[in-house]
Amino acid sequence: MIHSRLPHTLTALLLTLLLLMALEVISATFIPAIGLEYFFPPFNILFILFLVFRIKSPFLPLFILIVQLTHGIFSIESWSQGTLIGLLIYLGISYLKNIIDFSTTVSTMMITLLTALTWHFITSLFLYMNRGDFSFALNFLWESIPECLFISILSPALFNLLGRIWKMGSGNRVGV
Amino acid sequence: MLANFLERENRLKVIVFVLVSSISLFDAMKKGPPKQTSSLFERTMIDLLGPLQNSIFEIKYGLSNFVHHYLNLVEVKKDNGMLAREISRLKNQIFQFEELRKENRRLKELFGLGKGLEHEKILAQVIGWDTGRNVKLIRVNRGKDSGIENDLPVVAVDGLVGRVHRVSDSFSDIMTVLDQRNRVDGIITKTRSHGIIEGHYEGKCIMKYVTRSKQVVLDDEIITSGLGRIYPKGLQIGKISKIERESYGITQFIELTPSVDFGKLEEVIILKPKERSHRPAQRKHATGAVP
Repeated sequence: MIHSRLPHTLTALLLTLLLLMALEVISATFIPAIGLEYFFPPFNILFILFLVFRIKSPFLPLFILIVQLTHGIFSIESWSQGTLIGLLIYLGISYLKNIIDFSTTVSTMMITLLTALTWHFITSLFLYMNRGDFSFALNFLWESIPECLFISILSPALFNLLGRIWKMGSGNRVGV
Repeated sequence: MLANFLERENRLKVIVFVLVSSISLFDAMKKGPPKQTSSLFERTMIDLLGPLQNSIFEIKYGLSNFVHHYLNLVEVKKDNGMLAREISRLKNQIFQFEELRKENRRLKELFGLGKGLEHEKILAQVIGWDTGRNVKLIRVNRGKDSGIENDLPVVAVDGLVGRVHRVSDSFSDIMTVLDQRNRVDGIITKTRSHGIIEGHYEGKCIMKYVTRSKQVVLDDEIITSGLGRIYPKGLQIGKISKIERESYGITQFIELTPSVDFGKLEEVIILKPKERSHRPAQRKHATGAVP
């Protein structure tokens, strides 16, 4: 069954990565060019959240790793740290998947917002452990709120688009 | 049969999970500064996507020019159309001349920078920023093809920008002084006290390890000390904007505002030691990896 879906999975993954690269180019180039030089929407997080929320596959950890490595083209931010956080979120979502509801736009936005904030909270904990500077970690978390809000607003539309790429119906987790 | 398949899938899931998390943990636990080498895949992708980033910058400038000089004139009365077009054309020309004049002045200032330095100056244009939340890197349109190497210092008219962190054939990533991973040895010009400058947040830096006994005041200038073999001595880093002395501890908290306005950075100069550019093979072995 896994083998039969492999071509579709690879195509969908490739298209997903191309879309991520397009959004990363916008984030790296266009957004700073219009004067928002400290605003970087974390599209990699949004893509990983989509995979974690909506895709059911034994290879999901590998997909998370590939998304982080693609993000590495545009950032020297540690891919390994992002992958570990992605895996932690994946574990958490696996336990909560039965109570998570993606049927409405608002619920999708809220769940994305909460998960993205959790992601940044874990990142700030890593930063605190690394630097020992509490104010720096706290400020990092505080400054990430507008970006989390931005990606949560984008999430319904982007999840819809990615859902089409992965050929899934709305609200379902699809096995690949 | 279904139960067998599910069991096999679960086993596969656990194996992939353990494998990916082990690789990530191994990389995350590595100590030392972030890697400066890039894989062939990364270099290829940077070189492929760099021109796209460059074009987006060009398109943005073209669009803003269009918006400023044409869209604002849409409401002009029809009988003044010809005149308006002429004004628009001239305005556009003036705008372009003005931009050229500004660019000319910027470049003159850039090339006049650090006349005493024994460095080859390589001009580069900023084409993008690192998309990481806690990373402050910029991407410029010069790479190995222009003789860029890791750890070369990068400056702008107002002072130090950072150092080259990652190089592909045609593009380079510059780790700015705003990045918390970048550490620069600096001197407070008035007291000649040494300290280590690191990126902080909100576009500020901090200076560490300055003892409380050193009398520093606001607006004191900080320059590079020349220690560490990366940055030449005397490059302006910034000015002290905040000082906190607690009743305990042996050092004081010093925050500084970088002299470079990173939000308006368009061009930078990469400084390459002349002897290194003349004798690349020998110098590579002589210097090795700069700590």
